[in-house]
Amino acid sequence: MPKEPEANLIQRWQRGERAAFEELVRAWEGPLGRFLQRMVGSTETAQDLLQELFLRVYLNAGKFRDQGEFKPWLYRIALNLARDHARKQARQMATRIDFAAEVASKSPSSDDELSLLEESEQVRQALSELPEQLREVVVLRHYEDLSFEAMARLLEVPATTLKSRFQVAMKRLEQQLVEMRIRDGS
Amino acid sequence: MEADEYPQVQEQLDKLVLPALRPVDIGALYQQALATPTPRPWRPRRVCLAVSAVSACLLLGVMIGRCDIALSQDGFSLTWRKPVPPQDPLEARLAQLEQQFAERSSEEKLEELKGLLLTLAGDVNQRDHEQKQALARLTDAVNAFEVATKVQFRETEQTQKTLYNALFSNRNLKGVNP
Repeated sequence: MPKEPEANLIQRWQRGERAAFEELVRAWEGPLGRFLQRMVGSTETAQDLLQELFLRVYLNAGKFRDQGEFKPWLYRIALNLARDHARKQARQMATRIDFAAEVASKSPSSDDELSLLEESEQVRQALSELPEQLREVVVLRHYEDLSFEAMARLLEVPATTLKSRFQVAMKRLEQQLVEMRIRDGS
Repeated sequence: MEADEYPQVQEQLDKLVLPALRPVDIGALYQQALATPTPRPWRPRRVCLAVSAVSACLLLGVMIGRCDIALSQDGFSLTWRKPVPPQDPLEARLAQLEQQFAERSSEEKLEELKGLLLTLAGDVNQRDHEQKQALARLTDAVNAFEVATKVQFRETEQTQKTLYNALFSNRNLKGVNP
């Protein structure tokens, strides 16, 4: 059976059809969950934020306009949630959960797998050490594959500024990853 | 693409392993949505109530300002103070001077009265002098007028005499019938 176009699903959801809303949730929970995981650096927090995100979407059904694009709207909500969380975390100094430790606890570990997990943890750490503005650009550009123009609309920042931020972020990541490799002796 | 400048970093970024998330609990989401209080729409009644409350507070403030509350042996009394009428600026100044005068000591008052008397005396002298001068000027004018009148009278008399002589000195002339 062919997949129903998203526009139809949105119309049905806005008319109050729960089935349509559930389909939209299932379609977007994966990408948005991963986006939140990369932004906040914690699976548990990302899980909570994802639930909060779809609650906001559900409550704001009337605010989404037909002519607006659904994906940027969802990402804007996700971004706001991640930013709010970062602000709260800065105040509370909450501890983060390592992805590597989580993954390792759920899967059998061979030497290769452990090595991959170590590398993953290095990337997670390097990403989490980036300032929020730079992390946003890297996640949206590299992982979500958004163009700088689309990012400019989403973040309401000029595309040229975002390009410079991306350059700076990549340079910093490169330095951090090199330092980590030297430190870990790999 | 700008990211091509950092292929190694990109490669590293791709190594980020993410644990799978649980699917969104839609049932819990509906429960949360029900528990979330919906923002109340704007109600004119609330605004009217707020405006009424503010007006009542203002009125109460004004009333308290105008009431005199007294507690005596006879009991508690509450009186409505009449509004103070706006004062004429001259009267206000006079009242102020009177008050200032009342506040001074007897010595100061005496000194001030002396000063006032001297001022009044000086003023009377000044006026007297001016009146005397005016009278003198008037007398001079009357005298001058009298002199002028006398001169005029003499001139008229002289003219009359001359005319008379001119007419009657030729009475004996023949053929003339006056």
